[in-house]
Amino acid sequence: VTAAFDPLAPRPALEVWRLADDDDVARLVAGLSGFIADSDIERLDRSLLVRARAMRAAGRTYRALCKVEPAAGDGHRQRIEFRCNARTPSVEGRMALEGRVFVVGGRVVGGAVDRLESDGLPPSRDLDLDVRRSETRHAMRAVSATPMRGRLRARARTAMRSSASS
Amino acid sequence: LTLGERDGEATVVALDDFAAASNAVEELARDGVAGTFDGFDPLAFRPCAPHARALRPARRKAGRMVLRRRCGDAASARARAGIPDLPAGETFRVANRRLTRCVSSLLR
Repeated sequence: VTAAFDPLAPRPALEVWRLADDDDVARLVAGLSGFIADSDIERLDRSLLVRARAMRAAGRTYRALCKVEPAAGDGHRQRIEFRCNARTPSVEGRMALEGRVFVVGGRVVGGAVDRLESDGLPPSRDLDLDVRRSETRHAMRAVSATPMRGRLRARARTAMRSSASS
Repeated sequence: LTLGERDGEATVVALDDFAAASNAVEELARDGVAGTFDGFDPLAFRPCAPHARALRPARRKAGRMVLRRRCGDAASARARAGIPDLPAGETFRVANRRLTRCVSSLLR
């Protein structure tokens, strides 16, 4: 390795960023965020939710009717597809939800969301469902789950201000 | 989700839990404009020296507002003083420490 390519050799800055508008702030914050370890991002994700609940942060509730369709499973796992749309445009706002849940031994053990869309915001796609509760009563399955993107709670793409659970 | 054989119902609760993070970012921008945060300055992430040492006792007594006010024009003062650039990499190390503190304060 020649001296010019020695990784320990001090080098001048590649770029100098100057704050001129909000886009520069976003660029800087996005750049600095790359220095946060994944484990800290997960802690931050949890902490934001805990803080929001403690402070009784504002939330919105959306309801929709669903078409349910059992699909072919793979071995011991049954797959149930669902497609939900708000019954009417209302003060609750518009919402569309499409995806599937996986059932093993009568319990929903997981699932996926193909599309989650509300209030005309860009849809969130390809989310996992972290199942918190699953029970069956009178042939109805009740599932409580949190949409996740990887190990983090899914947040609305445009506003980046929401965490959702269904 | 409540799922029957053919029909069901979904309830989605969206919670605005990102306000603390957004506020922290907006505070950086506000402090940058006010001159109390030097991360956006041409000479970013420099200490307020030589004022810092003299202000340390006052800061202990009166809190960070004293330091913030006296550091308001720190960037131009440093430029006038001809403080050289930090060695390559040091700016990001300082930025990383600062960001870590910011994250830590959010996590507390």
